Amino acid sequence: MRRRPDTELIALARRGSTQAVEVLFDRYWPHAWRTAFAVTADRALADDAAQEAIEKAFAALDRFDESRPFGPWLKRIAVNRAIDLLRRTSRLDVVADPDAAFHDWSLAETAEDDVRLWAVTDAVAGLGASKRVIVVLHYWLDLPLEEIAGALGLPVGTVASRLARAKDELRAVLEERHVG
Amino acid sequence: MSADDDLERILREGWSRLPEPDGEATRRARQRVVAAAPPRRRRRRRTARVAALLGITVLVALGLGIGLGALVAPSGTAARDPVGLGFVPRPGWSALQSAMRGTPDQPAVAMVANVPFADDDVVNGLAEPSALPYSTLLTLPPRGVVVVATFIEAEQQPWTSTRYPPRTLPLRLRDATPFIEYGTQVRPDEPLGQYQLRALVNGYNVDLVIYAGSPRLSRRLSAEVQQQLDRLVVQRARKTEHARTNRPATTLATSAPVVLDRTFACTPSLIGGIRKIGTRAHRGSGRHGPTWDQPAFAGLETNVSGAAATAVENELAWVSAGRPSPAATVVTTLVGYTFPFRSWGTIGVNRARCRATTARVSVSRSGLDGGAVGPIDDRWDCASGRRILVRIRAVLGSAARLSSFRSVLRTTVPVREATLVARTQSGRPLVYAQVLQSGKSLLYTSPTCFPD
Repeated sequence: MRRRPDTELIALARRGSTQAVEVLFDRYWPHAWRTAFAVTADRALADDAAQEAIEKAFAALDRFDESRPFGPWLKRIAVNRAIDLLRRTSRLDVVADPDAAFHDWSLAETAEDDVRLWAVTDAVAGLGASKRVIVVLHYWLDLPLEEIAGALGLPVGTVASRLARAKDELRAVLEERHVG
Repeated sequence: MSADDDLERILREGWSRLPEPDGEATRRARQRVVAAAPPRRRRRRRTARVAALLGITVLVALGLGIGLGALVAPSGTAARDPVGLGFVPRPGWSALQSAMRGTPDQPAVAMVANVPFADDDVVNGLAEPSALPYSTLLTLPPRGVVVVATFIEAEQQPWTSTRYPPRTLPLRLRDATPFIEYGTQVRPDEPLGQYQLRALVNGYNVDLVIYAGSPRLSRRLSAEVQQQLDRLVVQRARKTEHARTNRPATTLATSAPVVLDRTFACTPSLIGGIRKIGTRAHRGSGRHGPTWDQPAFAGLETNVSGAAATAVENELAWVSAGRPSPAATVVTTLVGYTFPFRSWGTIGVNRARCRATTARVSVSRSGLDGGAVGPIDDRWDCASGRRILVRIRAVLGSAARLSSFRSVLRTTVPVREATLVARTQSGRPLVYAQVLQSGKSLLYTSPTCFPD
């Protein structure tokens, strides 16, 4: 069962196979959660957003277009749920968030790469949600600017200018930390 | 390669640094997704029958309930948008409420289930007002349960008084009938268990219908349903003009549980360049009937005052459960100062260091370690950052509000159960504590905390 492609699993899940549902869940849950965490920078919000997203996706399997890949579809649902939660908690417009963090607290930092990536994620986290979400959606989740604008309800020009400002800030922070 | 390209390359690498979901969140999500998976069924054949049943049920409801209600109900006297009618969901359960009026033509509706509600049964985040969560019921798995409660002010249904016997909370599943009066089987192909319980509670005619995914509730599921019924909240009905002129006020005087749910942003003190909080909890001890020499307790503290006379100012927030004795004290000092719960509060929050916030804090012990604690304080210290978010959720024995008393915001109403959760502003969970009026107390802390 675990080696079957998504299309077969989806067909089985629609017919009521719990095992197929479990395999699909195991395959996509970590990605859905990390997507939600990337947008929210908050474990608790990510838990809620990812759970709502994956429940919604499985509940809508009957309506899923099998000709399209499952992963990107789920990713978009997770992005939308995460943005909804940020908006609901009035955290979407935060301009600076020094307490936000992406890194895992239990990680040991030993390699130079780890330190570098830690600095990058810290710098992204520190942007504040209004710019961070755009950076994350564009560079981590590969969404085009037009789609980001649609998800956030902003003009494309605003998204582009926020992204440019975010990059300027990130460049300055990373240079200051000698990361490059 | 340009500087811009370098920056973008480094940025993209950041994705690989994100952590994985923790085990508890994964387990919870997995359980809910699997529980909600569509059962093997022959949906098309049933669709027509369900549509017919829905039509019949709606017609019966319209004919018997709404029509008669509209004729008899006094107009313009009912309280609008009843609050405090619904379920406090157990962990893993979902709850919905409606924004209806609690009148015969617009009953207030509350639903709770151990499976997620289908999208069709949720309207703008509220319970579907028909009180029939059909889509959820059609796909209810064998171990799934949905409880639907409708509330109508008894004043507005005087003709039904014999059908709603007066009962007190918590309502008991054993009082339910294993069928629904005037009801039909919702899912004839795979019959649901359908139970009904009617009660007059705090001025409301409460009609509870329990749907189970199997024809009979198992013993384990019955226990879970009972635990959920224990969490039914029916706030006293507001007296209508009719009630004030025709009924003695004492008829509505039964106490009802009230849920208090507040979140605060608190600032721990800075000691030696480090901000940290302490947490402590103990189970109840010295029980005399409903009263405890020392009730179950959980609290958060920081270093503010070294003086025994003001030791309570070190407490950021606390919760207790059960009725405290007059001598029970929030803080014990070596030189004999006491801070009685009956004055300082069964729930208290430091006014100088905490302020109310609308920030979201999940009531979850995900990522934390711990368990039940004994009668001696279990103490831990946790690095906190400059601000922490603290959420208190409590079920109180009667109506209450937080009021100022010296350095704290507090209530002195005895608490049935309470949960205290703390996390950093960035979302790192620090503490989860729960106290119950049975005396039990649970404390979970972050793996980065250390025993004091």
